[in-house]
Amino acid sequence: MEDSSTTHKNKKPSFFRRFKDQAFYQAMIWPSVILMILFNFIPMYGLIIAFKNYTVLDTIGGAPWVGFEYFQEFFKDPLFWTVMKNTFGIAFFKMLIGFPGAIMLAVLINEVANVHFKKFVQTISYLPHFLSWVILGGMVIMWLSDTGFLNSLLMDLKVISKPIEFMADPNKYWAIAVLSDFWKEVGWGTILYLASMTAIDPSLYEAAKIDGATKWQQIIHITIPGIRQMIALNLILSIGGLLGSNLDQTLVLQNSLNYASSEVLNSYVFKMGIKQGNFSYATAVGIFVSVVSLILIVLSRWGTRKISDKSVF
Amino acid sequence: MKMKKVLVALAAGLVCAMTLTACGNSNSSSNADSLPKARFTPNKKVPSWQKDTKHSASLTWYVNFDWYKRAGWGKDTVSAQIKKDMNIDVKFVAGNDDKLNTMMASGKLPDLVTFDRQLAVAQNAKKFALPLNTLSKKYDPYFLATAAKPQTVKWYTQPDGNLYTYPSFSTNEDDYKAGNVVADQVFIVRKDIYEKIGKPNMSTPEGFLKALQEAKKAVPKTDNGTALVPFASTALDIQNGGDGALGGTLQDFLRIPVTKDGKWYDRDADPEYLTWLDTFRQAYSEGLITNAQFADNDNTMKEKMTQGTYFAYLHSNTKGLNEFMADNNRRNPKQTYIAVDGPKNSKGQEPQFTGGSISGWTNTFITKNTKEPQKAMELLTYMASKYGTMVTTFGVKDKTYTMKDGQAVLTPDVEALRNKDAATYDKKQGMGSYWEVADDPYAISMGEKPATTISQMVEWASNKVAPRFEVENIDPTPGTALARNLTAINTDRVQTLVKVIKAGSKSEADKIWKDFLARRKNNNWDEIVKTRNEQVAKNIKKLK
Repeated sequence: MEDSSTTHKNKKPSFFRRFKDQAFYQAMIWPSVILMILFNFIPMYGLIIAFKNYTVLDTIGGAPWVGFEYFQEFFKDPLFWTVMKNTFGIAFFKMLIGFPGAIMLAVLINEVANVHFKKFVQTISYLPHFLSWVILGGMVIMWLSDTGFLNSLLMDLKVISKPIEFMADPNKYWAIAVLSDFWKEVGWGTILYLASMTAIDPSLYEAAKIDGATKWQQIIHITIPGIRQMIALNLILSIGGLLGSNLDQTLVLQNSLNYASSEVLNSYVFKMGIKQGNFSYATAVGIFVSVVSLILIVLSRWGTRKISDKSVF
Repeated sequence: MKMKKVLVALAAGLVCAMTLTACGNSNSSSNADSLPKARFTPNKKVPSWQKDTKHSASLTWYVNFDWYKRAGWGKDTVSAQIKKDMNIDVKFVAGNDDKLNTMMASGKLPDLVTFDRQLAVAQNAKKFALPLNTLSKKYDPYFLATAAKPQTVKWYTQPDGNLYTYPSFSTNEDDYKAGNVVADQVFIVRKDIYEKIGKPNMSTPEGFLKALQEAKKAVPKTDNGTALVPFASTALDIQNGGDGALGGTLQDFLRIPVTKDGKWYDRDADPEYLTWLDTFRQAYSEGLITNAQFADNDNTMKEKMTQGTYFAYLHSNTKGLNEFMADNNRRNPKQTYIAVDGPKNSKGQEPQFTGGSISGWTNTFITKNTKEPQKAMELLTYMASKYGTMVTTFGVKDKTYTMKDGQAVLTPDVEALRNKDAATYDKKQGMGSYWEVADDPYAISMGEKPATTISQMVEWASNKVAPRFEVENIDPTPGTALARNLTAINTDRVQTLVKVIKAGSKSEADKIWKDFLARRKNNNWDEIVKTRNEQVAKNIKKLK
């Protein structure tokens, strides 16, 4: 609410005056801004080692410059295409299934009338999210082993005569990665949608009912448009995170045999940088990942403006 | 306004970052000139630690292996004796590469560090380590004169004339000549099955396959009800290019040379090797090798070994088997494993293994950060010397060992504990646990014996060793593009090995392997071979 006495004065109040007026809000924002500078911006200085031949015995400033050598090496690396294919492929299918999956599950949960049953379903579907990949991956590996639960079941049902090598077959890795991720995260993904569904005005549903709209029509014309903003936001966030989300999972589910289809950008960086100590090289790959992610975010932001008339950020 | 604020923040951030770099440079520049004075005039005939007992010191020693845990200095027989002799306290810190890298980058190193000689940082020792020749000259000439092995010192002396490190388990030409070396590779079979099927000859592809088939028929299940696995070999580690026993170890069994006419030899392309890969392929297709071979890690496989799961096993590290053989023997003494003749080449020649390298295993450095360079030097001298080797290998004379005909023999109760409970033995006695600069061949010459469970295996390999110093350290320098190429090739190689064994037919397997050999070119293979040949030539020169 603007006071009429301030609007008719054309002169803006001074910076310090305004700062003092906002002192309370400023006090809330500055600690986090400072933390961000300390931990997000200053360390970025270290990125220059991507252009230097850095070893742990050099200082960041003192290491010799090498230009774009590591980028060139990475692009020429025979593994480059494998890693890119796996990263984008797995991420694409995860989004293809996981993104609409969460929306559908949220709609379904929203339509459950019995409160206790609703809470029960929600709890069960959130549960895997709180288990780490180490535990969940261990379960997946056990279930899918030669003598595991799934093979025993299929054998006993006489569906197959010989155990299927799930974990040892590179052709099956993508499916395992995508489905296990779906199982883990789909419930958690519904929370934001469910929250924004409660904000939809109930009178809209009442009006629709009076007009004779079916449940299906209510979902399509009221629920989904009601959470449109949230869908757009989630889409942007998940596209931005496409290249960076599956390190834990990869490290747990990867083995000697599915390596060719399980190595992704992040596990590659981890291996080259942390495990083999090629810090400069790994940083160069890391910068490449960041640049691609940035491009994706900008593109998706531009795209979602078309779906929801307002920009999300 | 908002934009401006962001800019100000960014600028502030940059300024901070620039000033911080100055702090990052903390590699202390203590050099040889600024070393403290020796506490007395050292003598090259007497190790300085004997005269330095009045000065007590406490040192920290970092060992770059997570599993290296000591109960505490002075709590076991060995460290108690060193403490008594030297008036010294040593705190051991264990860790992994991450920890080492962090310490290196921050410049905060403990007094001594020990790590695998193949780590990239070893190349830059000059930046963090004090030259041992300088320290020895100043504080303890006995080290270079008597304690250290001359051939090892020569091998490790850098072009700048300095010796920055001293290795563990360095084995030289003389050690080979004296027979003080042991091989670490072995082919073992479960004795009860082997005898049941009439002790067949397993050194030819036909005999090998036939024996596996018969073993499977004779004993289809193990004691715990799981299926017997006729053949397995050391676990693979594909991500790190670890070929288990399917690469170099098998090639050693087939006596494929490592060099030919002073040039590095491409053992992977040798027809003898291909013959045996195809033998393994046939074994896999008949179910004599299972998929677990490619999925199980080292721990899982050794655990299965304690259950007698395998009939035959090709292994690349005999010493690492002790504990598991002991467990298996305790479970069922009739199902022990014994070493027999395994794969041989088509000429039927004996295998040829390496009995240790002149470079040894780990490297130990005295860092520039140490405040006690003299005591640190004395400690290295002590542990590398003959006297120190006796203490670290056998403990205290007449307490844990006695001398018989010039050979040390552990007292009966100590020996019994060693074979019964390896963990308690290590904790209480600590023998063999302070190996950082150990002279293994000397310990062997003085009577060090492998644990009873593996003694037959070590014995089997003992007459099949020959040095191969010319191929040591011939791979591209770690951290370079060429080294990354080699890692990529090695990873590809192990994956290809698996594909070859799982291939449906001989022609298919041959094609997969030939494709791999050709594909190496994409990863600068020719350049790597060139580097190796240059290094081989250098080594040959150095060894003369």
